Amino acid sequence: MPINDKYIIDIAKGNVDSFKRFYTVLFPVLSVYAYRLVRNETEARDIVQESMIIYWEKRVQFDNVDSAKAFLYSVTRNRCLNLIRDREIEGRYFSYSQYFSERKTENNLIIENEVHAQLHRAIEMLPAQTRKIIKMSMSGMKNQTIADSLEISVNTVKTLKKAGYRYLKKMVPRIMLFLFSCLIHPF
Amino acid sequence: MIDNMFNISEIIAGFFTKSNTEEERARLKEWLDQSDDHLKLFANLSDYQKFEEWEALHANFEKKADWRGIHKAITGRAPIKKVYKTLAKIAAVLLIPLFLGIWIHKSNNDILLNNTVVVPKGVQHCLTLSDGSRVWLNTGTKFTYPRKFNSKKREVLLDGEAYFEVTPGLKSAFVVKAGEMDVVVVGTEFNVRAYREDKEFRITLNDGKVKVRSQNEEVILNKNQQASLTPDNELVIDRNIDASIYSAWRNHSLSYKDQTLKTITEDLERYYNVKFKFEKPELSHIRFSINVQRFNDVYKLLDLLKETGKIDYTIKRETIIIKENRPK
Repeated sequence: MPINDKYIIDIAKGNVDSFKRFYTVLFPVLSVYAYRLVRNETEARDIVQESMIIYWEKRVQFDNVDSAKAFLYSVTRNRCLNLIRDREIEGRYFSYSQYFSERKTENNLIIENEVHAQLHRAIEMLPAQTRKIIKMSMSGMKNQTIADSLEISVNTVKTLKKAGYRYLKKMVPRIMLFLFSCLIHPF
Repeated sequence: MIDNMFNISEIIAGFFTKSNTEEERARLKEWLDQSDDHLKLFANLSDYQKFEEWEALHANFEKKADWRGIHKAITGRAPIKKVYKTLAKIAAVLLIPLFLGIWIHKSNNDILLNNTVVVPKGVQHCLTLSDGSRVWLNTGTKFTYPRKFNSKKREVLLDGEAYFEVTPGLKSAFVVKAGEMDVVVVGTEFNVRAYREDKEFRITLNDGKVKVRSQNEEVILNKNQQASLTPDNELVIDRNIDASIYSAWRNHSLSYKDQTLKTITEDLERYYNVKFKFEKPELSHIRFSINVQRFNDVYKLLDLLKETGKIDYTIKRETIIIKENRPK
């Protein structure tokens, strides 16, 4: 079940099990974001770990998913930027242009991360075969090619695809996880 | 008015899952019309490969989540230190973005599903192919292989450096295609070094036998022999070398025998993700013999080289400049 406001309130009350669920879902999502900034896996993980700990310490301030996540992105972003700045001071500069040739604004990185996370969550809900088909379809494969590689008929592909998208349409709006409205609080 | 950033993320995702309402579709169109920047961002997000990249990173971080650590920290049992500064010093072979590329443009269509692995700078990776063959990939390497080998041939593509342990006893030949070169083996161990950006090709045989094919010639190599392609496209054979030097990178060591600083710095650029410049071009021809465990940062190695008295170095902005050693 997706993280909703109730989880956040439980966490504010000190419920460790709810926090565990919250952590399990958000740690990898925020880590990808941090990694995009600092380009080092260990450092990204450490930063997100610290951000989660700080969240726990300030848990009573939050009563909805929106503000909780805004806070986490904000803290994570600032720590990443601090690390980058420290690296430059020490004279160690790592080239970030490896995967991104154009400069992205910080908000764009967050939007990208959130869209991917949303997509991932949605697609994960699908049964295995349907998921494979939908992913292949999204990657540009034609139905016949999908059918050949999975060794099923084109009709099956079309049917499962249709059912898959119908399911997504029904289920996706219910995912409250990444529904925010707002400003990132500066810290 | 600041844009509703996370709301738009949901709507963009809804576009791809075809689950947007009429209202959401209108909102998306409105957002796209607002600026070129938005259009660019959306176009970026339409790239499915980027999503697969994200998923690979996500899956890796999911595995590395440390609930126990956090639990300890929040229940007050362990102090929280600034971990990232110290951990940054530890060389970690960790993150590989996996690009699951479905190649629908292949002209003869006999390989329906290929995986391409791109090993970024600073890490190396080992994987096992569907026939049991093992491949070690060095930094800055791109390797393409079919998810399942067919019974007629086992063909892989290499741009970079890899060490192969090919499963013997199978009828089909194992072929490594590296640019214009082919390496054909039946079962054996060898190292191929073919970084396209450096325009080089070198294969070192550790065990067994291989056939090396260039555009105009073909040679057979045995154990402890090496073939390199010269800039004039000639195959040069060295029949008496110590093959283990050329695959020492697998053990995270830097091993060079009388190698030019040019080659060494090319490798260092890949391992450490740094850039080198030479104060004078002649400096790049200076030769070194090194055999050390790879350090966590490149500066330790540079200090070692500096101790030989042959060179000095400084760092300017993002570049390491190799200088002449001038006695003070």
